[in-house]
Amino acid sequence: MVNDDDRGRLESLAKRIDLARKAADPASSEKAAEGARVHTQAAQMIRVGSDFVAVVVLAGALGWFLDRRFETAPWLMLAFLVVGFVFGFWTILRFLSKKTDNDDVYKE
Amino acid sequence: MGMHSPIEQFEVHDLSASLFDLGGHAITFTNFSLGAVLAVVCGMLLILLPMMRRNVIPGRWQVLVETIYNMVDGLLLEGAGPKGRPFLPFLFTLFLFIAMSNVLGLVPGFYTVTSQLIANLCLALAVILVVLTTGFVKHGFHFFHVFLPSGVPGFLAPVIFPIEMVSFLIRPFSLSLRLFANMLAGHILLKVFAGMTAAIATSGWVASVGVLPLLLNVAIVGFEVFVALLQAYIFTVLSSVYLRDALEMH
Repeated sequence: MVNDDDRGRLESLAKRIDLARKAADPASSEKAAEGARVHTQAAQMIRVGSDFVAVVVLAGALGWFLDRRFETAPWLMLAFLVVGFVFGFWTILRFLSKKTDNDDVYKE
Repeated sequence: MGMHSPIEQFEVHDLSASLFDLGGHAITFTNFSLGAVLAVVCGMLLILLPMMRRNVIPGRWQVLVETIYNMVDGLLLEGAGPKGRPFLPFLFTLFLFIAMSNVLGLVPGFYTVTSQLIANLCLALAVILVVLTTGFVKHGFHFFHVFLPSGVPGFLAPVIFPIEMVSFLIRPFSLSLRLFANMLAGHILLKVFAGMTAAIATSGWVASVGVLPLLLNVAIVGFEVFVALLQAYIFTVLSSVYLRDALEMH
């Protein structure tokens, strides 16, 4: 286990490494952080697309299952698909407004 | 002509007799289990072997391991913030397992574990379970506020709450569906083009045209390696983003 003494030494070592790195290439740490930020945002964008698909597929599957249960094919599936589409679009809209409104969806 | 079905590769076969009984179901060792075991073993070898000799000046393999480590560490810091550090082992394991199964699945004859929706769903549910546990341990019942963002007018609460709840519950499905669809589509594409190559090459006078789908297949294999790593990366990034919800509530 790492005790407090070691932790302090590790932290000071991390600080020194950081300083040495900055001295070697002043822009490197900012560049790395910026890269990670861009990648995270890109992953979020990809997430929206599959969120939409997931909602529609899940709603359709639920409708299909209920149809089999109550022998009402294909009406419940169609109804659930419509609801899934609406909800999917709502998800996308919510994500987009989140990005522009300073991370607060319901702010005036 | 013995053309194989492009989805035959996803079939699960028994490799052993029944090992034991679980609620009336015979549990056997399948090609799926073999793929999962191989992914775990190869992932461990990839990380542990270069780290046997921990050199101050790293060799090639050690640089590779350190690069993977730094990448996961960086995305966790960006996705979940500094409080997410304790979850580094979990996310690192997750990334390594998904990346290994995706890449190993591209080797001809190997089974792609992540092309089974249920495998991905288990991984995604594990993530959501960790998120929920962390949230409730850290915030108690206050965690339910994740479903009710601050600033929502009181009369909207009964509408917003179920909607937020559903979009939270959608997460594991969307997480697993994306990985599953990417792996499935890529492997079917490879098989279809391979089948075209074989069909054209054995069809007689235009046999030389068969080289075209072959060339395309070579390009697709390269693309699939990219997709395999990208999907593992996205899975990990989104897991860390979900973790942030549980760690710091707005």
